[in-house]
Amino acid sequence: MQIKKILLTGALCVCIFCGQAQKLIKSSIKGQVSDEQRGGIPFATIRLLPVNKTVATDQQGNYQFLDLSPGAYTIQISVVGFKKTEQKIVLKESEARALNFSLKGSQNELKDVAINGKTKATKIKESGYAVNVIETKQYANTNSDINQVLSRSTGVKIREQGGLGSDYSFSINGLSGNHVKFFIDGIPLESYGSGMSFNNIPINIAERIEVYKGVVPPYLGSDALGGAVNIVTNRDRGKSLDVSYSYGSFNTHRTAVSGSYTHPKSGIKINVNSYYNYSDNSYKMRSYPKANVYLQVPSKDKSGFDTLSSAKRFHNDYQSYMGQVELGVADKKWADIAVFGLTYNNVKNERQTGATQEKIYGNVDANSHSIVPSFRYRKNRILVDGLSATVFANMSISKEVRTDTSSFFSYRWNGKPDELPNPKYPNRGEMGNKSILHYNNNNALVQLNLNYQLSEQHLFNLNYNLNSASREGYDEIDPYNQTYNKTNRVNKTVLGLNYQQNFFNNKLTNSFFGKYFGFSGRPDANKPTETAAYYGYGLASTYKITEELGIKASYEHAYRLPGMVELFGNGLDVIGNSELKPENSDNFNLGLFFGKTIGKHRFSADGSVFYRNAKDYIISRPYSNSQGAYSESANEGGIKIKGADFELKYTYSDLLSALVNMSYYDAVDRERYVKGTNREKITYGSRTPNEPWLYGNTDVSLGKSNVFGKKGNRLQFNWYMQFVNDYSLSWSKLGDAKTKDYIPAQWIQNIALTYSLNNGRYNITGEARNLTDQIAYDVFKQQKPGRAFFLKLRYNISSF
Amino acid sequence: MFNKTKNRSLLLAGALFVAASITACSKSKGGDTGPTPEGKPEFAIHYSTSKGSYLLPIRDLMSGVITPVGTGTDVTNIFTWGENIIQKGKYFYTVEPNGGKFGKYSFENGVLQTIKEIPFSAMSYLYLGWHTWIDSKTLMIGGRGNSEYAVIDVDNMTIIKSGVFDTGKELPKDHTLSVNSITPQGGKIFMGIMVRNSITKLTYDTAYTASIDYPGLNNFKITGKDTRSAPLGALRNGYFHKFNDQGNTYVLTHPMPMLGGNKPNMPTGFYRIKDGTTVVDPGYFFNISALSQGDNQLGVEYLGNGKALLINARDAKNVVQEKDDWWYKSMWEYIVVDVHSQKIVRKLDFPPLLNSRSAVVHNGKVYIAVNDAKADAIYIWEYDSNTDKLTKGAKVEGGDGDTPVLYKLN
Repeated sequence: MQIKKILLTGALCVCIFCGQAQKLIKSSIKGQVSDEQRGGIPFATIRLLPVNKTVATDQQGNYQFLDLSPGAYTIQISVVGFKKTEQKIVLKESEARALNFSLKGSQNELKDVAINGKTKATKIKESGYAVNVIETKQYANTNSDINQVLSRSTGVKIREQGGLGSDYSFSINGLSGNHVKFFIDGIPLESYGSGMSFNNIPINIAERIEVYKGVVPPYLGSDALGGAVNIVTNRDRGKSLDVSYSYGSFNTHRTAVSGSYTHPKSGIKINVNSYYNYSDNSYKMRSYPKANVYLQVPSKDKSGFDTLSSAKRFHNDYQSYMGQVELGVADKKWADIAVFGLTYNNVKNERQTGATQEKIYGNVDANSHSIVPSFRYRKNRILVDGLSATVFANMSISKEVRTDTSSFFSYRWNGKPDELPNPKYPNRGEMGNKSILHYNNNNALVQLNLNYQLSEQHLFNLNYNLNSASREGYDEIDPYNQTYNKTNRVNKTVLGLNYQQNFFNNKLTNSFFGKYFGFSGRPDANKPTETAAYYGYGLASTYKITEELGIKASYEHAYRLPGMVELFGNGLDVIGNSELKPENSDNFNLGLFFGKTIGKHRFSADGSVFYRNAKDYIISRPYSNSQGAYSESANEGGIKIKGADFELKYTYSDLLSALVNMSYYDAVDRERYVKGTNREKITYGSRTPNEPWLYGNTDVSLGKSNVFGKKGNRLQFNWYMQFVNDYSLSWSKLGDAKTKDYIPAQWIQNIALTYSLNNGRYNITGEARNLTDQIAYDVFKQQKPGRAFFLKLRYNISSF
Repeated sequence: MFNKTKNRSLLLAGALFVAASITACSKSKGGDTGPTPEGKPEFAIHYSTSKGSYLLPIRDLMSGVITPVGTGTDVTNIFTWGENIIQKGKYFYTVEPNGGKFGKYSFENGVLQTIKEIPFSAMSYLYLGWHTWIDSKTLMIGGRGNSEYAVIDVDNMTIIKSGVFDTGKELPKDHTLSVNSITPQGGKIFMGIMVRNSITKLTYDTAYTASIDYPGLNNFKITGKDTRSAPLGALRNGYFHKFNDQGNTYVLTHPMPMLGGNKPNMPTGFYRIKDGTTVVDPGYFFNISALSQGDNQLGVEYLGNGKALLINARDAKNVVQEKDDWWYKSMWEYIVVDVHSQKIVRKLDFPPLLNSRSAVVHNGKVYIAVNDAKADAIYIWEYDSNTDKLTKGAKVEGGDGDTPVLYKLN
């Protein structure tokens, strides 16, 4: 019932906006600014005289002016590197004029001139939200995946269990794991099935990454407690092709191909995105007394242990590939974009360790693949000016298989098992009883996004998501075992409505939003469906004190609904808990931003403070029954987090760029009383253990164009360093400090050298990671790769 | 999650148990304690929180404050699975399931020292269900919910023998057993076992008993079937469940849901096994539930003279609505039972308590950690069964859901 009510309300709102718009319908101008060679030019400044309205083109070079009165106008186009262009027109009543501009390169290429036009990234940053925007262009020649680029950002910590493709936990301002949601072009990543993950998507696929901290705009239609990450891919470009291959340490191969083509006359369009990753991940593990880490192997007579100083990982191969093709039409009357897509991905993963590196596997494998048909539609003007819509629908069909059938077990870091196959234990596998576990997951998503620009001051956004997921699991070896044989379904509805207002010539921007979360689920086929509904809300404001300096603040009462595995288990190592309540958090952000350009110097600074108060916090805790040891999710009192981060950036022309940032947070146990009592908990107010709470990055690039006496080439050097302060693995105030385990402070340095030719068309990069070969740890003292070298070749064109 | 009521059957499905934060309630009392030398008493306390566990010495059980803040040894990475802790005197033993290790440690003057760790993969499943001391240096341990075992010489830290109890033709095909309780009886070992049909996946309610030769660990024989209560012993290592008195071993059954064998319709009680025999005394069953309105109990400590301290889950059938209620509902009562008179001789005069099963006996007095939800902390109370007197002692800071476990070190 609730859903219907909300839907009706939403529909009503839309009707009202439309009605209003009908009254206000006036003339308009729209079109595209393009370059002879490269297609649409983003961020070109379009000025309309005499009314003195200014807009910037979008990523595809599109622009529009709405609500114009009939009359004579002059349009001026200016963009760095091109000749200024202007055109006079006369607009009739109710005319929707299409006007495209094709610019020619400036005679005196304005290489070293300051760029005053604001990038999309800057614009998003100056919205009221606490958001990091990472333009990936600068990393496109490196061997990084999405996670590695994100980990350079403030407030973000990605903790990986190992090398390429390893499990990871993503944290934004101290809220981690499932508390953070991921999106690709606004589509929840989970709707793409099991194989799509930030640890394998190469950076070349992305154009920009947005990290929303604590407060998530409703157009990302999902439940997120601690924030969201949205990858904006570089699709829908007129013509483009990006092909790259890299090879490096641990027999690591990575290939990515992405391209886009639209036939100018027919409007038929094709987008391709694909990648292939492979690595042995055979990096060296080390004994490290400082961190109380010893690689123990049985002594010859098995009467005790010997300690190895180092050992190679021996069962850690990883392979993943993904192919996505979209086919459809562009620039039609009825659709700006209408494409059907098909995505396939496949992951093969050897498991080397359990949750800690004490538990070593020698033969456990996990494989998965999924196929995802999809449909995407976008129209910028529906019925009335200012109303645009996107529709997305997909269906993912995923299969996962985890195999534990070897009779060898209890592996050590020398690669040898303690035990050979023993007829006494015919059913014994490495993780418990031998098993071949199958999970079939199906997920269907429908997403509708409506934007309505009532006027330059008022913008409305409505987002509706319907997600339905089901899973079925069974053990091939023991198909009648009901522990594994579970079929269940979860339906989730998210409806978000946002109203944004801009005042004083965009000096003040306010967004107000509300979100509805509807939920229904069924633990298994024999149980009735149960439902629940929750409401979230928030606001984001920004005020530009001067052209250079602004202040922003945001708040959200955020919810996250428990996921299917948390509610119903995975039939494997996670037991379901159908009593889980959704977790909720009050998230506050306050930030300052500053940017100034003087000649060739550009300086920017961002700083923010934040506060989170997370309740009914869903945590994972160990759990055992007579069959084995598992984990289960449970609601806990939660945590309070306060923290701050800052980032300073300086660039000098295209020669030097230097960045330094630092993030700090203090997450403390907020549950005051021992459950069932009025006694204060001994850990109340204490910092939660096993989490890095102080970390930072420096990133310096030096580059020079037109080197070696040739035009159009460029040499670029990058030095990157990451710092993570030491932290305790258990409550630091409990127990004698001398007896406690700490993860020592880490300073990891990477360097890269890129040589580009033909205006960035051909690129070659040599890269060294963890140059000083530091022993680095992450979650639960899992060691990460040591020094590694990579070579990457990349071919990139924006027109053929 | 849902607005509708929770599903009880789901709640009770399987003998579920929350570990880590709670498992450390377990204690090495499940086995025979063996002789302890006289001398100055020394005690220790083991705290376990959801993110770390700590072992600290106690100076005085009867006064002051016992707190883990800034003191004690961080044993988070040593005792990774609370139920696997075995203690005897100043020595602690554990099976570390991740690293595949069996370790021996001594705790003296507040310092936990590693004596020796040996590779341990003698069992396929390194979560213990029981342990027993064959003699002062021979420890026998077994897996939970299965019939695997290992015999360890803890002086030399060598594994003497390990394997799966060979049932020969005593059990039908497609039937497996899991061991709940082991009692050495001269050249034999007496076992309380649970029998499971692997086709139907059902465990029989019948309390099976069996014997096996020692040290050969062969000649397995089913010695009896009894339907008066659940199988003898506990499901998990460290739950106190037996003691010897006047030539008899008394073994407690654990039918309690969640924390025991999940047979809520069966009574808790003591079976009796005469020394040297491998059958239960057919004329003896001390039905404690029958004297406590059908409630189930768990074992806490043996007090001497045939008296045992138990904890009674008062009216759990109605009080427990969800899983966590087993720990966080004030429903537990300490009771003293006498296996000779077969009576509940005393209900200790505390208000209904949160789950707490921690006590040590010294000089005829028992020191109990009392987790009263309304008190400002957990306190140690001294109970003198001779004078029937309760005295409030040291304050125990901390303890969240699980009550810190007391150990007597000599």
